[in-house]
Amino acid sequence: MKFPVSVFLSLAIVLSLTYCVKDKTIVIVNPPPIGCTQTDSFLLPVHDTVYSIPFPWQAPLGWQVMVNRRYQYFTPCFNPNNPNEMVYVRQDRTVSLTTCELRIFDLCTGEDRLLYPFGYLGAHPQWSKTGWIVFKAAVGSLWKIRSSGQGLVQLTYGNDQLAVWSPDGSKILFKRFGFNIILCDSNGVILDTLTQLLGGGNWSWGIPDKLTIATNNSPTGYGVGYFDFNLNEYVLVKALDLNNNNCLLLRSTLWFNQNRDIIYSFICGIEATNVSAGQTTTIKRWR
Amino acid sequence: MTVAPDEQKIAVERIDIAPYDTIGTNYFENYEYNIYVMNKDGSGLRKIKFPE
Repeated sequence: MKFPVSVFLSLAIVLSLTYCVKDKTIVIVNPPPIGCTQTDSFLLPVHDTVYSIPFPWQAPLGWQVMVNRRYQYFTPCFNPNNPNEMVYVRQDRTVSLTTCELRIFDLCTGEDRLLYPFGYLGAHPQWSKTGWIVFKAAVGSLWKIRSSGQGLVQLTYGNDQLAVWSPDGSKILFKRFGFNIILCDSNGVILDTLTQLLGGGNWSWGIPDKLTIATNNSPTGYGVGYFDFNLNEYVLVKALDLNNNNCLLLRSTLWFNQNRDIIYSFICGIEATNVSAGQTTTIKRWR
Repeated sequence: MTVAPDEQKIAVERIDIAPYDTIGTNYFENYEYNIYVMNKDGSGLRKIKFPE
């Protein structure tokens, strides 16, 4: 049986194209992030490594921390109107250990710009839908600034921190003296003190009447849940056991998966728990 | 940690601990604070290399 030349050539073309596609698939190891069109050089692929080294506080003979790198990067917060833009804190250890820059980074273009030079190390910048960013400054407590860098306004004068915007950007919730929970309007005028949230922290306000929150107070115990402003009650969604190693020490909580889940980060990784079913999914594990 | 408004990406601050050494009776470690991005299911982990 003989193949016509045209059939043979067609087969050769198909095979060569298949090879090219395979080759291209292998070569591209760093595809652009979702929503971006270009392959980047500023997002480095990372192997999913789970460390098994002990925690420093578990070292039986004491421990000592060394920090060699000049810049450290903290507390990213996405622009609620642009999924490729975030504000974050940059510490320059050659300048100050506590006064840090607030900067804005574009995940698609790699553009990085200074927003405000005198933020606090724990500035915890939070970006509202109205375009304002609230943060703790090195001096003078909470401030807000437009993402353009204009309109800097001092909001409070106490020892305040961990401010978050309401979903519509009309109110701010923050912690004063590391203890009292204060609700104010977008200009810093105090509206209420929420004693029900004592012992809570690491919150986010993604739904108008529900605040995700991490708690460490009795009788709720340590875990992740939400505070319902309408019912004036806290609902524990996921109890966590610190188990003496601080692996599950919570760092942040957020509404996730169209508000069906609460996603939370802790020292060893990230998990999400479905609010109604209580089912937990591991998103990432570092240790 | 922060979730993008379209819920397709997560960004998180992580303490990276370089391989440590034990010298005498002291436990030494070297750490860096970095920011990582990943897809919503935890895949596609990337470390952001900020311009310096």
